[in-house]
Amino acid sequence: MSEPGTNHPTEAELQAYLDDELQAPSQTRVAEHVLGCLACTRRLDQLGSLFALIESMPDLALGKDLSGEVLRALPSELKRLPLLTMLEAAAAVALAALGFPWLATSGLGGVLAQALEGWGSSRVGELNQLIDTLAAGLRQGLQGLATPAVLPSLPSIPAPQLWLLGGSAALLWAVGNGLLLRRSVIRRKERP
Amino acid sequence: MNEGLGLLLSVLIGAPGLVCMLTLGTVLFPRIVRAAQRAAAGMPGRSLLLGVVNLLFLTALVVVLTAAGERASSRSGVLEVLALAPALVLASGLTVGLAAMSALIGDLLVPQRGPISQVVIGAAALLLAGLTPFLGWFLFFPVTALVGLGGVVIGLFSRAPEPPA
Repeated sequence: MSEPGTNHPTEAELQAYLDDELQAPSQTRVAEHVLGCLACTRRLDQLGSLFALIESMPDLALGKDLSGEVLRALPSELKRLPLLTMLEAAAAVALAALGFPWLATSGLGGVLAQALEGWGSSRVGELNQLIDTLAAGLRQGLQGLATPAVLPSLPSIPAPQLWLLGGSAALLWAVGNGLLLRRSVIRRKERP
Repeated sequence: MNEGLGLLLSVLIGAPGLVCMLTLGTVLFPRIVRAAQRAAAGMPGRSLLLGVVNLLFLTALVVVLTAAGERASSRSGVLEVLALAPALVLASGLTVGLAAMSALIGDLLVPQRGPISQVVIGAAALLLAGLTPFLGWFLFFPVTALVGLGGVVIGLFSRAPEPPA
């Protein structure tokens, strides 16, 4: 018999012993202890009876499916990284577009234009032709749409206003999306 | 008279086409449509604001790129071609958003039907309501499209838990 009060297995260990979930050395230790300890044997019998009683009880079906409410309570996780990447890409495109008119009139623009001419005269110039064809088609299509007043023709926008429009739109987009896409829970409405 | 007849013909031909396109959008992109539908149903106000913000940004980007292309001295046409990208993104977002709104409306109108029937009925109802003079043209259809666009944005950038089947 073990001495009372010495190295008794815990409640959790006894439950795990009943479920055969202990590792081999612990399982052997608890088995040897229980053989020599009356208190632990009684406790083990009580637990065994309780588990048997629980298992003999019929399964009760829930009257209400709680999974939806549990899922609704979970916060949505925002994919911040793709959003930032897209933001940077859009800002880069917008800035490039806005800076193009000034670039074309500056000295740097002349150097770039010469480089582009050289590039255009090479074999890669076929790509330029393709772009020209696409752009001409696009212009014709837009003119065709604009002629019967389906679309208004685009007025000539001065460069500062173009800068203001692009910058404001990019700022509104970044701030608006940032605020509106913050961490939140998407709730589903219950059908009555 | 001819203009009215032309408009009527374009509606008669375009309406079934749009219903088919929205249905196909739901079939081909079920995940994003479902996510947008859930976002639009759960957060309509936020979806509307996101739709407005993204519509303004993409439209401004198209205008800026096109105007910059026209101002550029080289007139290579690169910027005009680039302007197509945000226009296509906007058109795709609006189409998927409208498909999500069709599914949502169909789910509310005929909950006992299958998902495809729901989208077809929802798209038809959306389109017919959108044809209502003034109220449909300037209020119902634009607002629905913007809520759908915002739902698409939320669906793309937020990972919400899937509801039980």
